[in-house]
Amino acid sequence: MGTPLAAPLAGAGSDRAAVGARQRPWLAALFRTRTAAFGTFVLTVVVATALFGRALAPYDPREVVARPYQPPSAQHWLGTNDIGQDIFSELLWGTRASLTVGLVAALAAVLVGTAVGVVAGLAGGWVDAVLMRATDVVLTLPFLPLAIVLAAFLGPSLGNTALVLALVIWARPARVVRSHALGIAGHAYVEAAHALGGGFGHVLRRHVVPAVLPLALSQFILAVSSAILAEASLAFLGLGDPIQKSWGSVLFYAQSRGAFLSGAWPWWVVPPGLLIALTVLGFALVGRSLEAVLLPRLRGR
Amino acid sequence: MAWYLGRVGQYGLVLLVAMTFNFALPRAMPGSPLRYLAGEDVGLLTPAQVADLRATYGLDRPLAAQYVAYLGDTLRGAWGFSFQLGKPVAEAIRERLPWTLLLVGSSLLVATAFGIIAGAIAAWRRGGRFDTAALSSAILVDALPTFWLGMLFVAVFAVSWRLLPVFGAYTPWGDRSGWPFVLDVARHLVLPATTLTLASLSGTFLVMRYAMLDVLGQDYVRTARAKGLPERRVVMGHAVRNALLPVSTVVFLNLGFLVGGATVVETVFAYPGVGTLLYQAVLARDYPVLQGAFFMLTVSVLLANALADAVYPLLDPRVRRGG
Amino acid sequence: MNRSSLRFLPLLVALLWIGSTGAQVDRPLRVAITGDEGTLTPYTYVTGYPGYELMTLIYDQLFLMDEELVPRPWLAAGLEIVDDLTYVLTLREGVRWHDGEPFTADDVAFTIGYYQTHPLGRFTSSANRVADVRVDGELGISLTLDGPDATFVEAALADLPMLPRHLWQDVDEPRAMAEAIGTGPYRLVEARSEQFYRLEANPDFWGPPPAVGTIIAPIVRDETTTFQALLAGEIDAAVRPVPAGSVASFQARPDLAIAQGSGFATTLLILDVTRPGLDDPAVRRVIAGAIDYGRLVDLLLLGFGTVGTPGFLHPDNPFANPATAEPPRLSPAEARGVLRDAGYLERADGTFAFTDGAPEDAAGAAPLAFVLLAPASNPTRLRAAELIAQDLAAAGIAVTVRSMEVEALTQRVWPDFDVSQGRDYELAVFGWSAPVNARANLRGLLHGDPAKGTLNLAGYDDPEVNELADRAVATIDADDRRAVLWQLQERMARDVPLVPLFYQDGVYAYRPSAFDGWSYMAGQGILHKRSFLRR
Repeated sequence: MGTPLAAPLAGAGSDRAAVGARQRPWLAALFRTRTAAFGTFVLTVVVATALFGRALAPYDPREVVARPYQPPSAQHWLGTNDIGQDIFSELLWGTRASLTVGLVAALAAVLVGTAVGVVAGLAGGWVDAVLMRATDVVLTLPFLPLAIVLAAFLGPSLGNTALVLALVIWARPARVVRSHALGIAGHAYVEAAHALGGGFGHVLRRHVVPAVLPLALSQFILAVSSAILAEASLAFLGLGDPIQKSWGSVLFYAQSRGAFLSGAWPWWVVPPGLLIALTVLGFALVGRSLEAVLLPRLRGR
Repeated sequence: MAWYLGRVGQYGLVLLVAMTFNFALPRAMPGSPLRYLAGEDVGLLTPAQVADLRATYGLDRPLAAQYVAYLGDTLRGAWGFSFQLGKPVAEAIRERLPWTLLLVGSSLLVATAFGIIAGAIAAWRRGGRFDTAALSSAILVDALPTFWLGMLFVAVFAVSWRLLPVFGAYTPWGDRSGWPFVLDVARHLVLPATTLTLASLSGTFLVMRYAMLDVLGQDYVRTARAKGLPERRVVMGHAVRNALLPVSTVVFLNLGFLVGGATVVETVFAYPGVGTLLYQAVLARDYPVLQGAFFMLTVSVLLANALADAVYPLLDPRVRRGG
Repeated sequence: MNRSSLRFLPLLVALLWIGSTGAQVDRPLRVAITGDEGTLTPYTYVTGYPGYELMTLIYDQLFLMDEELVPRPWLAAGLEIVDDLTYVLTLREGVRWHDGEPFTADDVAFTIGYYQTHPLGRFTSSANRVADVRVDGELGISLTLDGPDATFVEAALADLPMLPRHLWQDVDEPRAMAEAIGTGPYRLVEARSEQFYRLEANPDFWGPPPAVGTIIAPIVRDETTTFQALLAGEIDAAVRPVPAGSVASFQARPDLAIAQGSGFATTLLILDVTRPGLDDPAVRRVIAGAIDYGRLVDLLLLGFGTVGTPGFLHPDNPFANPATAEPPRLSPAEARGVLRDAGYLERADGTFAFTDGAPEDAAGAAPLAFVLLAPASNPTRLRAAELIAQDLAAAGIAVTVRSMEVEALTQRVWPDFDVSQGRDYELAVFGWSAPVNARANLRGLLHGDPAKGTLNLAGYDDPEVNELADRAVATIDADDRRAVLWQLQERMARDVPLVPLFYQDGVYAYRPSAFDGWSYMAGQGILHKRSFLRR
């Protein structure tokens, strides 16, 4: 269900920081450890599936191509669903929607979160107080019930799902980014830039954004994994968009159309769940690795 | 003192904003609670009768008036009457709250205990086989969709193997006193609590491990080691105690997260907690229940945060001395 | 976890295992229901099925439907219909409320008055047909209607649950009245919201003896959980129909039996006939003709259902017109032909467009395209929408399916449950519960006056149909009434004010070793009062 933490976490083997990749720490982080490399590999495969899965799918998953509730066979590797659509093709097609929702929600959340965090951290005073109380409110409201209410309010569509997720996710990156922006604002060279007549915008552009960007990147990747998991939960509760093929909607139909009663769950429920888990794992591993490489530098100042 | 007052003021503000959301969101949802006020065949009523009904439940008053009344009523504990359940909201919540507390409490307890112990050992034997295994499983478990895990548990343990019950918190027709009841409740609790525990396990573990690593590198631990104190005492006496500090914050934060996560778990196992109550209230546009349950959740999360604030000085000797 | 606590682990597991056999001492009948039904009073039960049926185990009606939907005397021993407006009832002797008070004609008069003054959808509208009540002694009562009503016995006498006057006379807020006291064969012993109801046989019941000592009705919201509990032996029956995909595996199990019958609940495609395009009967006929009803029943219900009749009434309904039993069928080519003849413009990509009198302007013409709403929480209806969109695309009508949360959808098609407030949709997959069909409430579906056509979500308004619909309600003679209803069904087939898609059969599973006395109420299911009484 995602880690309920604002605190940055050290990734697996964080102590074995790669030497010799100083110039490109982001790239190095992708392959720094075996787990990170595994995460990178998983993500590559998932992204490739999202891009080319539709071409690779043996059937059009919207078409009725066989009898409903067929077990796996040579023609239908994962059998057919409740109205005779090919489950394997559904999963290939669904990759794009699931990934897009996760990416869009995380991007929006981190953009807002970063902006709030930077402004709060730099401006200080009442601006800081107001923004931080706002994040408190969001962090205080129980995440899933809030998402349920919002999803019911906005109506089911992939765009709305992404919006709902962004609305509840942004507070965490805002907190993390603010604490770093605070540090930067008090920094000698930033104060010097101020003294030399550099305006707010100048300081922001030249000093703050470059310093915060890597952090925002790692927050983004962690947010993607939370968003993908949360999207599946919403879909399971019937609050996603069941019209679009996504991993969550495949699970929704499997659950609600009797996969567990007809014994079809090993090929109808397990694969989409594993795909979600694998993707989330990939993002988590890469995100942690990025954080481990980038954060010491920021913390060290 | 002023600091405490300021904190209280801030919590009050957060509560007010959260309550405003609680009021506005349900009403902004399209749909109406009329189906539950007038029964399924609401379509057979004349418009005049429908208007009557709306007036009876105060749904025809201006929103501002409803809002003011809502604020006062909620704070006074007068949470009103459920549209859907035909009983007072407070009673409905009182019936469900113990089950959520049991589910969340037991999961929190197990996850915290397990996370602290495993985190401490992993950090102590950093890089070792246990550390590697625990770390990778923590990240792996964190990636599993909770509801999916729960559904598979039911399919395997309850339906295929018939080891544990499929749904509910206890057997309604069974003995409801003494040990048989305790056992019955425990049997119903195993699967949902395990699911929820797995969902929240990694947070405590990772923070504990991280905090321990930090503490083990500190001067005083090195001094203790240099003084020739037994390794066991160094780790248990000094390191763990100090590492518990950040963990306590996480535990309280986890509480809020667990209450939310419990909604999904309760739904999967048809567990009669506040989460399912809330979910049904959303679907039924049961404003009074939504408001009451949300208020309770918000207050409990705020209380958890306040507790974390209060406990922090007690655990951290430096803060105590300085304060 | 240290060693000493680990030592207890096997013990704990063993205890949990022992607990599984110890909990089942008394074996009441466990019937899973679908949701919370309030305090099981006439004012707090929620669903027509199973809520009403459960509630009427506690409360009795004056008449009771039998399995073939014929009303039989129940609390009323006799009925004399003096003229179209006057109904004289004689009540059964010696009937007592659960608290020992005698049931009398005063209770009946009070009940009718109470439903009239305390609005509740199902009961108020039928109670309102009564213009005057005259009590004649302990057991005699005479009702005068405000106009002739062919359905009065079914819709009022066999429907209104009788309330005890001595408990309800001071109740202003009926939803807060939590004491479930009736004259029925079962008493409510315990109710836990969202958990279960416990009913026990009423030892002093006036009628046939109850067949089951204790009924437990656990609430299980989720379909899968319900049937997993049935498979695992935790419940003995469920009021939900078995999902089509699992019927075969349930039939194969030696410990379960299946009761099967017709279902009158109707799944239909509704349309707003006041919209451009949909106001054209030709377009509506193409929509009705292009849908492959057989495929819907085959794929969605795996054959456990009946294709919708254009006249709305289920073929088993005694008023169904055999001439409108078959849904219309148009091949894609025929459908396109009808659209071309009706003056729509066929474009190169196979879609159609409005011409607006300018046939040559193909590019700028508005396409003949509609949005089809489907409830997000109902997978069967979502799938139906998906298949319908494919069928209509083949006929040249572009349909975009949009899922909506069910209350939000209802608000669009039926704002505040009041058709006079208009509507905001084009097409939607919707459903009517069994009573609409069982009572042949075609006036409700078709009448253009919102006060009469309370279920007319289409905005359909035709003077001739209005007149026929009024006559269908006012005609008491069964044969005459049937003739009027047949005419109405023919009009529906021609005008397509709505498109019935299918009726899902009721397929119910139960554990015969726990209770084998279930009977099937036509069009509805196995949970009803007669199932639980000895014959």
